[in-house]
Amino acid sequence: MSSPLAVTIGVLGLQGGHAEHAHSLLNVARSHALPPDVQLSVRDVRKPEHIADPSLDALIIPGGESTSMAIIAESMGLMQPLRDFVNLHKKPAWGTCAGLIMLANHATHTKQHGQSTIGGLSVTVDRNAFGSQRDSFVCDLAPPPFSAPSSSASSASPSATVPASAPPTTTPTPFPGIFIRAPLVSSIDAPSVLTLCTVSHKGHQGPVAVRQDHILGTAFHPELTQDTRWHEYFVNMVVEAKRAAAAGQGGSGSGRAKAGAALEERVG
Amino acid sequence: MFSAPSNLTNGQANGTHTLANGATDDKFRLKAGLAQMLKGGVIMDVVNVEQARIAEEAGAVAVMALERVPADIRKEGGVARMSDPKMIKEIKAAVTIPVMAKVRIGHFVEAQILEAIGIDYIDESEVLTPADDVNHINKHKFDVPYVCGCRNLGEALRRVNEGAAMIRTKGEAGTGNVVEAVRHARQVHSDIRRAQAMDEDELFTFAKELGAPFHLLKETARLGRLPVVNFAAGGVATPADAALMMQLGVDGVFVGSGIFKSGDPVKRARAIVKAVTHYKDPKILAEVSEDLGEPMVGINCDTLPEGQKMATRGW
Repeated sequence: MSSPLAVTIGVLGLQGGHAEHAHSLLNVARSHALPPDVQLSVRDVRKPEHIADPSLDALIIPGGESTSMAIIAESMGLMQPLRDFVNLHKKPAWGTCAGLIMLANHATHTKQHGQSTIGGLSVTVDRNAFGSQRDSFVCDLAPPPFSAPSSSASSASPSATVPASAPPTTTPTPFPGIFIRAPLVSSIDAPSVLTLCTVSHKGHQGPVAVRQDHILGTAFHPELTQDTRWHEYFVNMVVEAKRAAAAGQGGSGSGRAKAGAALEERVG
Repeated sequence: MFSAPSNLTNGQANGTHTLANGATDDKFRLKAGLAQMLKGGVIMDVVNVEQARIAEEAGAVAVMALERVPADIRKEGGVARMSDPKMIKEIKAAVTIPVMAKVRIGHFVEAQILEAIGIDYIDESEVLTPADDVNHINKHKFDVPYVCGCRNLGEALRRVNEGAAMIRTKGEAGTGNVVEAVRHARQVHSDIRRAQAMDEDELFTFAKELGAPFHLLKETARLGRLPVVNFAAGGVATPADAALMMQLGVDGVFVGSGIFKSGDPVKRARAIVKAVTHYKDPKILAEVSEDLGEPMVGINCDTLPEGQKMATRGW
């Protein structure tokens, strides 16, 4: 058996549904959906030093009001650390609803003087695309790719086909998509952006779950359901990224990588 | 049948409870879900487009559109009614955050009007003059969600039973005095703690005592919190007041007259938003409390004649 892999996911706790995300992650940790060697811990993130902490492996930006979140983040000097975390250190990040708006490179229908974002996801997002609260809705969505519990970490890499084909024989149960004053991805601005699921509702249609490398965005709220498949999907993204980084540093990599690491040690 | 919104936990619950809240009713899930997204935020009373923009720029999670803030309703007297839909629509057009508006207790036609113009949340509010002194609105009949005031757990759960998807403790609006807000928040939480210590046999009697539906009381005891999001309201005037209410365990704060009746609304609005985010951090609270200019004058609640108390409206 390999040694335990500690994985720490932060939830941006400035405002909105952060406790719900933390709770969903803890439900994932309690279930047996994760590889047995993974030890998941969840952390509240609200200050620059929380983001700069090197032990933080990934970040969830919850739903809430994206204008409020951006204003609070800006006033607390959080915006640049957040941008560095996502776009410089390229650590995994997942935004739901307002979080998707924060991670998108472009947003339309923003408040009068525009709003600052973290960016990184090459999409354009239309805020409140479906209308006001009375236009909020619940509908069935395609579940995340490879959402069936899988013990082999290597099978978790996303396929470029859309939607990704399910594991053999089982038809996946749909995912309950909760859209509350939700945004919609109005355009995909880079070929590396994968559409993981789409919605068609009262004349509005488009992607509502997208992934570009280490960034995941969903327009709906998996944290407002008891279904943890999207949280499992994200945790697997984080686990993969962490294993890849460890391999890259030569921890368990090839002989050449080990030699490189040894050399570094001597030089250091 | 009621079931609590998914993953709504009490602040300290991280990992200590295994909750299996599964709201099965999609309509209620959407209503309560919007309130879940407002948590940790400040909702500000505004009377015009300019104030709504100031509130949005300050980081408010929503605005409450009304013609007169409670302090002016108090001063001017007379019957206070729903605001002009035209002015509410103008505010709705000016900002991107959710817009709430108030209707009189029991006035379901005012509510139908607000629903028709696409308001995001309705406050069935004791701040306006009640239209029905026996019944509240049957809020299940509406697609638009409601927030209602309470002074204790029984009142809160009666409102949830009628379909409210969010609760606020009442406080005493328009006074700039936080004492009643504290009283009501403490009362709700103390009622919840008592319920948690009871077995089911005792809960039946406690439900009768509170005038609360048994199944909601049982759910509250299981969760250790109100089964919907709960904000504080009525008398919050300073960042310290807002943080006080947060530390007492509410999910967010309504600020009515406290901002735009003060000397420097822009600065005070921003300060209160920051205070709610960092309510446990006295250093940040000290920073944001500095140099805010004149607070609203405020009224001593002890000297308020019984007839002028708004919190006692609601049945």
